[in-house]
Amino acid sequence: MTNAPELTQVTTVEQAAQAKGEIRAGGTDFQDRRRHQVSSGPIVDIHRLPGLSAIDWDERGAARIGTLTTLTTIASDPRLRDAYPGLAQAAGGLATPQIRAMATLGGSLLQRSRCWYARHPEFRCYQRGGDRCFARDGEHEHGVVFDTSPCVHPHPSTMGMALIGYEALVEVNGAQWRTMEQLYGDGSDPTRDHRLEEGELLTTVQLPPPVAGERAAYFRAIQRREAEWAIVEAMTRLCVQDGVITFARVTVGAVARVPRRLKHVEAALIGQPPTAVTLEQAAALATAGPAPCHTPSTRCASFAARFLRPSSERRSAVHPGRPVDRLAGDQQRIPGVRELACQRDLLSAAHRRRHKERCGRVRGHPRVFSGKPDWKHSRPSGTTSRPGGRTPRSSSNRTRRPPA
Amino acid sequence: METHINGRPYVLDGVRGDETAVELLRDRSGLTGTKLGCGAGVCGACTVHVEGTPMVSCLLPVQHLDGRAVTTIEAYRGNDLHPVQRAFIARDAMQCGYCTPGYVMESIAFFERWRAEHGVAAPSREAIADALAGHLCRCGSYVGIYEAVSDACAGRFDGGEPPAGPRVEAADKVTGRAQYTVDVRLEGMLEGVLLRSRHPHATIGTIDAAAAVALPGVAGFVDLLPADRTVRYVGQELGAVAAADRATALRALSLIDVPYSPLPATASVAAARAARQSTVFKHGSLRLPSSSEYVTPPGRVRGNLHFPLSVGSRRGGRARRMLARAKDATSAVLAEGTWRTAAQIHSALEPHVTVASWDGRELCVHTSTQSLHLVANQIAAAAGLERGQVKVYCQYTGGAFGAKGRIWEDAVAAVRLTMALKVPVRVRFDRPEEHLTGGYRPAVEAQVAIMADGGKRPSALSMTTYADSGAARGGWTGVIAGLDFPYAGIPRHFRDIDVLTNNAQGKPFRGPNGVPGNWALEAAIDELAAKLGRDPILLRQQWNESPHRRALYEQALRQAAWRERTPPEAKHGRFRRGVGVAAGSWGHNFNADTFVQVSTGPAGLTVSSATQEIGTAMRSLLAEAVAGVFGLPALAVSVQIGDAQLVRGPSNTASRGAASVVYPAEQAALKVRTELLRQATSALGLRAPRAVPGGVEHDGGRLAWAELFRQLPAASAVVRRGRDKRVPTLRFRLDNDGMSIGRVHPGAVTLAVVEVDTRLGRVKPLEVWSCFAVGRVYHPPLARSQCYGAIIQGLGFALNEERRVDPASGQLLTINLNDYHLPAIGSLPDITVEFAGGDFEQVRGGGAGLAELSMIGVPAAVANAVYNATGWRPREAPITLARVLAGLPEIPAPAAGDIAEAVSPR
Repeated sequence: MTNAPELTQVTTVEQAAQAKGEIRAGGTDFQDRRRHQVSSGPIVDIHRLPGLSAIDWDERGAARIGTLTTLTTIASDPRLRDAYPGLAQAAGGLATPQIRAMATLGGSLLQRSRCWYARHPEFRCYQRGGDRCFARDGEHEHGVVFDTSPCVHPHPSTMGMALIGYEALVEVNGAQWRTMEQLYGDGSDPTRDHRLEEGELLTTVQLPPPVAGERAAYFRAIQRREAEWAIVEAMTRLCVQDGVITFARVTVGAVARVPRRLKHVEAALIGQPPTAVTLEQAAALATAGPAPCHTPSTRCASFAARFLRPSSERRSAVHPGRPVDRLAGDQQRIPGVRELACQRDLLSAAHRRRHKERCGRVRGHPRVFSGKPDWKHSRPSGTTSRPGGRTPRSSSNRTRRPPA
Repeated sequence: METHINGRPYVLDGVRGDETAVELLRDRSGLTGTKLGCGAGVCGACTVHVEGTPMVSCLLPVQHLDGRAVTTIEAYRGNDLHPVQRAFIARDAMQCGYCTPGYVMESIAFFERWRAEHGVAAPSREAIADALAGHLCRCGSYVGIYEAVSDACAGRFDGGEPPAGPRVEAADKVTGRAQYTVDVRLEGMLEGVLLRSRHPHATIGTIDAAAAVALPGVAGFVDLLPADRTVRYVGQELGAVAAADRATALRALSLIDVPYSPLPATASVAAARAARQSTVFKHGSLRLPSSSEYVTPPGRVRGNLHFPLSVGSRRGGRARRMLARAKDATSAVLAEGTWRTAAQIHSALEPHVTVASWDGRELCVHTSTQSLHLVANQIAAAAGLERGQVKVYCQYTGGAFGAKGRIWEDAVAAVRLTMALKVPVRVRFDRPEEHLTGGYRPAVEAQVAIMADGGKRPSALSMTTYADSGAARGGWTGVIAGLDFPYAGIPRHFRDIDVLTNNAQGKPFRGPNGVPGNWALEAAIDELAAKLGRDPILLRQQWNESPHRRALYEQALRQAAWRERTPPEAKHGRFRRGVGVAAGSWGHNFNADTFVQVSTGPAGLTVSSATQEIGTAMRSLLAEAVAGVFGLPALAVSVQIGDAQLVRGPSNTASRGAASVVYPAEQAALKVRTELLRQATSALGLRAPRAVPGGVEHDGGRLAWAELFRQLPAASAVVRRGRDKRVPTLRFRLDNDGMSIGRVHPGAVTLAVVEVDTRLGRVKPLEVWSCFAVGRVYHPPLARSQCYGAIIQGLGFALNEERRVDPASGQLLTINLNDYHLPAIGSLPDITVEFAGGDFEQVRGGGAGLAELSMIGVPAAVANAVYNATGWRPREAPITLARVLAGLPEIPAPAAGDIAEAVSPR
């Protein structure tokens, strides 16, 4: 049936732990690397493992999510959206709809670096068994802001950033619990972006009980509207009581070797009223941290400072500046494209007269039957359509035999 | 393991462990409606439904289909078509059509979800953008796609009316029936893969491919190196192997140990400019390949700099003298600076691909091209055959944009392999190959100075450009700027320099040299206007005496966006709105040797020409031209193109498709109609027959054309387009593809409105308004679609697209669409396109082409809008977030209104 030495489809966690080869869950990261020839060798396909694609709720109202749950499910499950709004927003704000429908939570947490050197077959860097980082001395504008490792590419996982912000625990091989910090380590190891060893499989993610009154927002700084790897991304969770912030979790992604909680920013928020000034002051602390890079990507730090606004305004909400009346307008047509294909003649009248005098008569072209219902022709000045046709100057046409 | 594909069971037998669903569908099941675009899950062309959920089949492991049902575009070929398909046809939501099956699948799923939740109602643009975020259309059909999806959901196409729209082949595109070269399957076809250089500069000894050829499933290897056995860029083709499938071919290539003797490489422009000796190309400029579509005369070479013949200057010496003095002259106002553009990859969704089959006597080739006739001649020459022994076909091309204007290495390799092996061979670039050697617009650095000292016009202008076309010449930015210079009477000096680097060769990209030149020139004029305190449109209008250009400016001045414009100093707050203007100019190009044949027979009317369909609606132009003469619907005309054995047709390069083909089509139709009327008298005895819409009226009544076609003997006419009378025309031949340039000047004015987020540095295009003076517009709805697409590509150039190379190794870094950002539907501004006539009566057909004119001024308009919004003038394209933040004078502190109202409650 299939190439047996190359592919093992496992049906138990024990089999998965013992099988040799690279793990494939949904395939959205794996197959991309295969096609670009930065992955090879045996495959351990885990997408059939039973019991790992459910969302269960315990008596505390806390969710336990199987690692084979798709990102679409996480983004759209109503109870998850209610209990962990930042998580759902992050899951719905990454990649594309098709990929979210295929990608698994586990795969998303454990995906490989998106550095354009690491993903290129000609560069064997630390992440692919080599002994150097090409980005460090090369093109690293998408690199880390905090230089803490021989590898300078940020961690790729949006879900990792969100789960750090939600202080989740992950279960390994159905037996052992670790924190997200233990899963990812401090990023100092340049050869990988997580600390699972061979034979270790993520099976479940356990979220803490939901925080009452939590508001959360996820934001991704990109050039286009969506479907782009983040320049910087952030998630904030806040509780506000009696006009002051009583709870804050702020995490940022795409700036460091592991997603980070910005604890000093959180500390600066607690006890403050959520005003523009206090939020800006707290956000300005974002770049304080170990060994900031003095590279062009330091710019990224200013991004982090600038958009850490714990607002529930999603990136897909009303764009500020757009006149309100346009959106409130007629819902029957898309406001937008105005088809003013003007056929009016913009030559001045004087020019038209001069032109007619010079030519004797205004020559037309032989399209004689108008009246197509959908669209009009553009005509040179002065032509009219006369039924009955007009004889073209066929005598001047030279018909040549086409070349042999 | 078993899956169901479109309701039929399919046993998953003998599949590879890492095989994906797109290979299963296209290669094993013969369902070629689903397309492979990027292979990285970004472009969405491979989208299928898995139990109703859209997924990207290029990343979907075949084993994951076990026990699941897959639906492809082939399931939507019923007589009625789905409302979404009918909407796509009616709203012209496509151009080349390659991405269309993916869009249709996604939109159908969205339609079903939307209806279930909202009933019959129009979705918001945001909802549609969210649903289609996993799709890209390189042709830029987003305007039509939005309208189609919205109108379908709103119930406009529920009624089951027959599908109708401006593009005659649209039904084939929305059902996946349109066959592209990449869909062609010949019996026994092998897969050819190119062996490419891993070094940017090296000489290669003899390549020993014995180990590769010995691998089971491998049929042979050909060496493709030039005579000097020297490679000059990473990716340069060394040879090609043919095998049973791509995976085997790749394995075979990995067994070849290429004997490289590496040479010092100059991958970066800075290093190339600094080098005293020629390090990239030592043989003088005559043998340098050209990245331009025009035939460019070779020039002097010094070090790694090539100095092409500089034409286009007018009183250039005077201009330079005045500018040299300007720094001291206190009365003169000088605007000067250096502008830079990035290399822009064509990245058409159908890659370069050729299927070639040689049986010892005849060579049959299918190739993805935009120059069918020229490529057929070049293939014959490359194969060493007579033209009559070669048959070349191209029914549909999935995008080209200038990268497929002549024979390229996919065709050379396929032809060489099939002639060696006598078996059909297909050579297809994958997306990384397409980005590496498939072609790109060269990056340009332009130093511009423009000076005004109180006269009506600037007293001097100078532009010196450095173009990085890789190991090729062809930077002609100044020449093109000079040839199409819309501001008469200004002393101007243009000088171009090619910087040779060890990079893949650039290729012409829509408006080659024109777009980068305009980026610099129109920004410099904007700068001058700012320094003079003048309205930028009025200033240009003052310099321009051409009536149709003045009329364009008049129209622009009337636009609300321009009337409501405020200066940069008046802007405040985080989000700042700005409007900018740029003028565009291009030439009037056509193929005088374009032939169109119109014939009638019992089956009806046929129009034919050896031209191609890259999305510019050649089929529809031909059909409408002929149908109009007979007063019949366009679908009543059978169109035959895509076969090089037909009468010679035009290339779709240099905006010459419509301008070449409509006139002879109309003339040939008229000849046939005249002949039929004559025969109606002589053969049928009709008295005083005269043509009316749909038939012939005579003294005894009326006969429909269909009846006459059946009763009368077949009639046929072939008409050559010829050149425009009384228009000075320059004609030259490029590889036997004669091109004529006529001295009439199509013009354009573009306004762009942007919103700059000064905290994030993000430039969001809000509106683009463009007005074009090209004379007659041959088919307004289709012309508008093309203009929208060009505008969208201009936005990509201005904001997103940047081909990136690692300077140390010469390797390409932006190997796929994850890192090379194409404009997407969610960022679409409101686009308005107007056509303003203009005096083109002398042009045969009455109108000039606008495929490139419509792109030329867009990036500069965006840059000028950013200046108006922020007071900072972008100098480098693309205008990335980092560049904006680096350039802004200060980041404004947040105001109270910046944070949206208090966090909304849960």
